[in-house]
Amino acid sequence: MFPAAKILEVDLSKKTININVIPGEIYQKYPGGSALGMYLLLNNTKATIDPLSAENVLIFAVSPFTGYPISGQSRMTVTAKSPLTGTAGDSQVGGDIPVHIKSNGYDAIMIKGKANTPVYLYINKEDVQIREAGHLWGKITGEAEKEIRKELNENHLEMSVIGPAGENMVLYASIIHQQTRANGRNGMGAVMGSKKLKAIVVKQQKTSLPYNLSALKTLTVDVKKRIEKNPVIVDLAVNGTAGVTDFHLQEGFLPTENWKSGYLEGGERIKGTTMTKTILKGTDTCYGCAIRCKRVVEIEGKVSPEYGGPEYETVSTFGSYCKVTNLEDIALANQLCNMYGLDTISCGATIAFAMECYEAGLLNEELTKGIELKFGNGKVFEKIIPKIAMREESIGVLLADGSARAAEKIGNGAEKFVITVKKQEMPAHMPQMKPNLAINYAVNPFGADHQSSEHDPALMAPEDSQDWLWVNKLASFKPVKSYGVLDENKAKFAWETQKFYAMLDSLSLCQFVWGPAWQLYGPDELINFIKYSLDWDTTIEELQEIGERRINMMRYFNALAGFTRKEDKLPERIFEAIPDGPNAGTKISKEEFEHALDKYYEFAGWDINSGNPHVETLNKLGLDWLTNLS
Amino acid sequence: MLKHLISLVWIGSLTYHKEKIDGEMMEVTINNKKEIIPDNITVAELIKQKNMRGNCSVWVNEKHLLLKEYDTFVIQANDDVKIIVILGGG
Repeated sequence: MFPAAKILEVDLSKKTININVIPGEIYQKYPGGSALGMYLLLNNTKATIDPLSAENVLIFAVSPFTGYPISGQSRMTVTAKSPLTGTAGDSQVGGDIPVHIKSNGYDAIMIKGKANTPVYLYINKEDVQIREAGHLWGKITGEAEKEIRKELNENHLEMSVIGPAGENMVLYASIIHQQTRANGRNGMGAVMGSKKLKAIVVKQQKTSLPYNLSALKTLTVDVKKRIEKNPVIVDLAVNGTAGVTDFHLQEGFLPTENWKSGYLEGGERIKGTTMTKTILKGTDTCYGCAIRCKRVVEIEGKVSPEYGGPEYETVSTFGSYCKVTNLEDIALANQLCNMYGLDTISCGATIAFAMECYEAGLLNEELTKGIELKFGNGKVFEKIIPKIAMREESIGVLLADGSARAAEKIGNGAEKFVITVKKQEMPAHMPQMKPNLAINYAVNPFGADHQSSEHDPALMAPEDSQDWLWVNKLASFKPVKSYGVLDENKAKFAWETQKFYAMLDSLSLCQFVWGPAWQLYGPDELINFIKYSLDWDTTIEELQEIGERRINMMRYFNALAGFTRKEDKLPERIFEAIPDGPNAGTKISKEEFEHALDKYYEFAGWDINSGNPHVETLNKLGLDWLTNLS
Repeated sequence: MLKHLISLVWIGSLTYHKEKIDGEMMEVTINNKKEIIPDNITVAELIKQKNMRGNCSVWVNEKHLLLKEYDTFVIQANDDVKIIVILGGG
């Protein structure tokens, strides 16, 4: 029997604390993380609310699998209406806190209302306290965390903390854990700040055991060999996600100068392998994970290992987007974002946008207060990031709402420099190289996201390789032999792998460990893991349906908020050919994109004109209850 | 005696090296660029020589090779080779 979900519900306006239970038969349809978050969001607020009002709810959701002894199970989704996109908001994180939300007995924590003065939440099983946090307000994440440990006289704590950016409701503020990990995307930190909630603190508890531990051990006993046999995972362990920089640079698909190019001159100075050889001090991992992909860097007197190290996305947004080839400047930007609580993707991309505006004469030094926002000038990061986080001076206020809103204020053609979808800045994987991402960036319910589907190279893999064989377990695909191919096959790939990734985000499993292509464990092993964990006999089809249900709930929420196909669009620059580098000339056309989008909606069972789910699709997924919402 | 043996080995290795340079190189196209590579090189050796990390996908004269062919498929002069690193997200 599927376990029931225990939801800790805290109303900060009413100062009430309740524990609610969702029966197992319902929980099984929305089994944690992103799906559970959406289920709670839809049932506890309206899609038309102001995301920064007391009416928004902020949900931290794990899953029945969180904390079991295997790699890639310590993940958590934060869900709320996003202030950045205006859509359903959704952001994942790893680390240790997911396990300890679960070890305290909770599948989700739902925050309602808004405190009058700053507070933090302390959880020790049923002992849940709303504690005063006036003395923590204004502090950077690391200081706040230290202060809380001192105050509680307790080291065995895990916490989710916002920095000044969240307090000031910067629209891309993040929620930080262990000073090194972030629920970065969609401005979840701003929602937390709007509720005057500085932190959620959980006491570490003993984790529970899976249904069949000895069977589960058959998946973990050879993990070292399994890693050694997988060159992608080896590279992830050695160079972190920053290793991706090397490949994108080599192929000429590293978004450069605010996406004007894919080739960065001097880019070898910011490669993942360069980081490994220079500033890397150590590695870090999430609870129970054997891969250790997290970076820890140190630059004496400048960057502290306490704040981890840059991921690929951060290297790109502060590096190639801004044409900066100084790794130290990028590492410092990463640290500042973790200290102040800012999403490194949106922050770096917004600064790159501002650099293009500055060079085009749309921003002047009077507004920037003497900061030379030129491409290549990485020294601006330490000046401008705190201003954004504090909403300080005109430039800080302007950029704190992201590039799309800044462009509306700047005018004079600044909007053509905006590289966003649904007002969220695009991550660093170029749709010209990976055209399935053109579809997924456009249709993804919470804006452009690179972790919402498998990437196209899986369709270019040898037909006897793991990548090809695993991905074809989801559906039958045609092989692809070059970059830039966007057709019905890619639309199908986008849809089928999006469902799989949506399911992983619901089961709260890491996409580097569990996946349909290059990862450590594939679809068959996932089914075994589920069986050994919960005695749940499932199938690929049932798992895909979980993902499909999650995506449809999001699309329906967005439809209620007024979103249609009109918002499923890409910046004009994405339809330009790559101008230089080894793959110069690679492009996707608008016609191909619109045709693929039509096909995607057909696969999804959505209306081609509105882009929203047909009633029949909702009924098929057991989501008929959605149509009673307004 | 030992000195004599070392000299022989040294002379032998020089001869081998000379042959590699003089007679065993060929021109091919790799990812649209002309390159000179050793003759009789297999796909697996080429990938290693080019220091390509991760999983690679290889086409030779438009033929998409299977992984199991990498150790035995020998590149010929004037072949058109395409190598792509199979890379996911991150």
